[in-house]
Amino acid sequence: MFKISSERLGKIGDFFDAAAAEKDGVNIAALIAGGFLAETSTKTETKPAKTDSEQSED
Amino acid sequence: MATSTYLSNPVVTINSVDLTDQARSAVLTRVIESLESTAFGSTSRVYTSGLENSTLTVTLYNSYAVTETYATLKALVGTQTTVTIKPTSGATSATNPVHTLTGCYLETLPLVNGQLGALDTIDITFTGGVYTVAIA
Repeated sequence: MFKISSERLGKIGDFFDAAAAEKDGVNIAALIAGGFLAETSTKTETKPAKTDSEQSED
Repeated sequence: MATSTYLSNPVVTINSVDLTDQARSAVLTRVIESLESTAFGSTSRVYTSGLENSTLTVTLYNSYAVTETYATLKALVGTQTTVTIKPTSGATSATNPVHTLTGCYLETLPLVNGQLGALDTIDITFTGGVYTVAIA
């Protein structure tokens, strides 16, 4: 997953479809090396397990 | 007499990066190599078409600033990329088509072209690739 990081490539922050661009002959490695793309993590934060911290009254 | 005129103001992208504001000259030439097929009995030379070998030559102001000329080109030399050029910045149409060279090759990249009292400019040439034109 890549996001645009230069206005020369598009709107900053927009998702960049690297697979489609590569099919069109775009050199993705050169875009990364030039600072035009920023790789974003595909990992999502995992929520902590739910724990019942309240004491039961019975 | 010219039937239409427009200010020379092409839009140039190199590897999808818009370098229009760093370009001051761009020449796209469609080249299809000629192969001689003259045979005995001919009274003049005859040619047939060979491989396509189009070129795009661009003159750019050199800049080492972030995401400018050098950053765009430094990793492209010796590789294939895609370049586009459109006559004007208006919407793509039959009178303002986008010309594309897909898979063209950048062989050389001048790094410094210094002259006293002049801006640093570089000429780069993309060669080969598949030529297409889009009108929409």
